[in-house]
Amino acid sequence: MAEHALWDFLDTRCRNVILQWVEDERLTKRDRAALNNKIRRLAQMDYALAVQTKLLAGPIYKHVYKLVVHTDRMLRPMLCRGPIDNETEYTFLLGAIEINWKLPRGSKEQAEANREVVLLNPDRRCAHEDIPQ
Amino acid sequence: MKTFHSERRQEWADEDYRYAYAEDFLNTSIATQIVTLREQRGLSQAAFAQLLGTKQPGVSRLENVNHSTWKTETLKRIARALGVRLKISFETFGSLVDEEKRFSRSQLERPKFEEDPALDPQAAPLVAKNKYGALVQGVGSEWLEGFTAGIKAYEDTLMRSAYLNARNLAAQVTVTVPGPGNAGLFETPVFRKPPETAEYQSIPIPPNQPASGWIS
Repeated sequence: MAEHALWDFLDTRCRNVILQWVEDERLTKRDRAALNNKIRRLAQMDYALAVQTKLLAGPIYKHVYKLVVHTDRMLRPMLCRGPIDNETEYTFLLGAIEINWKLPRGSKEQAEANREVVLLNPDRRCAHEDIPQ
Repeated sequence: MKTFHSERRQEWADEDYRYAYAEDFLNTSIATQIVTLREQRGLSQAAFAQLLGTKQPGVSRLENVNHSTWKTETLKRIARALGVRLKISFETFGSLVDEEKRFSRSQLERPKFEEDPALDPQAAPLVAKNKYGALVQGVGSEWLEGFTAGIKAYEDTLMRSAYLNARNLAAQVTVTVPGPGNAGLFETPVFRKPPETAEYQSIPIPPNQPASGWIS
């Protein structure tokens, strides 16, 4: 049973930013498999366990966390708790890949801005969609 | 309607994807279970490191879901320090679906040898919680598993035969069941009725169930 509901941020054209990122970055099958697994386990774990096992790192900026997925590349989709209900849901805000242990410039700020958009308009997110293989 | 199993069958059709998924699940499960068992025993990372003969950062690495270079010897040492046995086996992909469903802190917990009720059910009666939060005492783990599986089968199928099967298992420990109109959970001297949660109340009782021997 899931402990948390998962959501994905929608851009101004109502596109799922996570699926868009997966396609834009041409993630490999290994990447996609690990990403799907890690996201599903996050939904099932209590928050403390997710932090303890370093599945979730942060907050790295204001309310933004990163999901830590080591595969062919250092996948770091960024997310927040809530933001509508902090205890029962996570919202994926932006996809990112770390290079040399650094996130792309401005990505944390963009993720936080996306969170604020969801707070003002909860329709700017959809139920999390599995990453297509 | 797509079931969870058929969704996974479709998702795992590609061999490379399937093995990458299973490998990632394995790494995640091992690390998560180490944390869960250590915390269940009230050990800090430093205290656990001492038991393992290593340093705290070493434990931190083992408890990281992205750790992937497991050594059997290390896992054996961890098992011993935690009072459990290590089991390594080759499994079907079908069984991975069930393992995924069961993935949670409570499902990963294990008692240590001295507290294992399965080894001495008479001297140390099993005290466990079934998925409805009901306390079960004085019954073996086999019974509990059978009973829980029976209830699940009934929930999944809503078939009368599954219901009767669960009822028969319940009868083995003189369980009595409330009739229609009650909240619908098994009540017995060895079961204590849990708080009436939504989950508890969602179990429907089949119509026309035999009332004989059952509390209504």
